[in-house]
Amino acid sequence: MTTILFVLGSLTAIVSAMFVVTRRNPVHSVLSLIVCLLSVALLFLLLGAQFIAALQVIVYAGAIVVLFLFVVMLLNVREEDRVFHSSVSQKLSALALVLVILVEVLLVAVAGVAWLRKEEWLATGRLSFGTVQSVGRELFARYLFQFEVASVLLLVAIVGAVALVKKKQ
Amino acid sequence: MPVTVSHYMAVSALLFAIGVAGVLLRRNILVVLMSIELMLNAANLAFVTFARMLGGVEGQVIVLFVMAVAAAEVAVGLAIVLIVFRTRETTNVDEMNLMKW
Repeated sequence: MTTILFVLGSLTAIVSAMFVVTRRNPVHSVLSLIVCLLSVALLFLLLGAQFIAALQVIVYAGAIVVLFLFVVMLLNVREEDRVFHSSVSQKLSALALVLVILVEVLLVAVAGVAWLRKEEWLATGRLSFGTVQSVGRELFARYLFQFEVASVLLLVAIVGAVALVKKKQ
Repeated sequence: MPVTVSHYMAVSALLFAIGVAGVLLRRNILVVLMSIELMLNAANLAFVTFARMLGGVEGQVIVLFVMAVAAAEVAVGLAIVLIVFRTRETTNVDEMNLMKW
């Protein structure tokens, strides 16, 4: 059952990610991004990280994508006539770079974790792995300073966004 | 065949590569920003996978911070897109090549 759900989630994520990158209409890209983010939330759930899955749905698919949709609608972005405007040499070098990155990350990820006993999931027995309590306990005890810095970062982002868009009188 | 760390890492690597392709090949600034979000999601998936593999909760804490940073970056990035659109009337990154009009 988990295998079926994993295959479903990962295939949906990858296919919708490819749609995000290749659609001419930006609204279609945003909708595909929603599907991709929800599939990644499903993968988080399969990994047992329930809090992160809920955050993914609320923050990413619920707030960030809505921001994207606002801007797409506000700017009235038209459907493009062509998807890829680059020349052939640019496309080839971009493709080469993407292939290099993909092969490199796959090699590190798939072969490099062999020594870490990749066949076992060490946290299988622990029920408190992804709960809100366990994440919150670490967040507010050991990583309290980073948490406060993150809230300052969000404040800076809010002030910066408002200050940027404000019209000068 | 059980689902191992390598499968999740392969999915994360593919998502990251698709995000890189989107950033490099698309000319619409909004799709470029969305591809950056794809890359961040791939990194989040890798973090949670390793958190599950190693049993620690630090991986999930850093995912929370990555989401906060992504939200802040999207807010400021879209504000920049808005003000550039005010003067240039375009969302094509090839035409946003001067820092000041």
